[in-house]
Amino acid sequence: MRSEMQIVIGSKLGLHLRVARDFAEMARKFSSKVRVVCETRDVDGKSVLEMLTLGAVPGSKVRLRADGDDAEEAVQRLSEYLASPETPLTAAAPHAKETR
Amino acid sequence: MKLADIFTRETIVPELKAATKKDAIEEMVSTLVKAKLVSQAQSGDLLAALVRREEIGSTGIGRGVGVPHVKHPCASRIIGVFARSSKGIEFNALDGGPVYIVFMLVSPPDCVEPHLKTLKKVSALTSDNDFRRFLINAKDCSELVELMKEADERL
Repeated sequence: MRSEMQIVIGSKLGLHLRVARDFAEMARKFSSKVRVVCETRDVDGKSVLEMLTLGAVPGSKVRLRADGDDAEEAVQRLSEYLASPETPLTAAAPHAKETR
Repeated sequence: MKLADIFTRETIVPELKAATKKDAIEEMVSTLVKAKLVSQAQSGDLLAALVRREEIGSTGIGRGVGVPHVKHPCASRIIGVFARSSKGIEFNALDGGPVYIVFMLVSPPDCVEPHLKTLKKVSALTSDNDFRRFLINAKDCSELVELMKEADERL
């Protein structure tokens, strides 16, 4: 199954390291393949290093694409996170305050 | 901003003396002071900011690469240090492996887009297996300076 969604990077600091790391960690919890496309770059959403190569600034449009059994849930959860990465992922494990 | 303008002969450490992450960061901050890019008076606060940033989450991004970075008023433009450790440093990296090459970046507080672009360049550079090997195997500072220039031409 394939699921896709276009979203706008919500972080005021863009797709910086903490956002990339938390996104990749979240993506790895899904069995589906996760790709993230920004302009002409198409990278593995489960790799922090590849996510950083997007260099997505605040307001950038990115396209999430997941292929696999849990594709729909993956795109839903991951897009919610990218749109608002300052929101804690879970009450039990809140994000550190974004400082840089 | 070009990597070769950030990582120069004065801000490249071919072999770190430090064996721990904190000591490595301290040695790299000292390099910025020696290069007259940061004053001695500001260096303590910069070091503390970099260490605090690591406590939020390690900047060891995997594949032997560390990118400690922070925004700090001591920088009026993006400044940085490139350093290597042939023995490897425990960095609490994402992949659990030691770090062999470190790109430290210090950006002005309001610097968002140039900071992300520099981070993008560093990640693109280090995700290239060949280039990462070149950085690890370069024999001295001069070769590393040349590699930074080559990286700017590629990216």
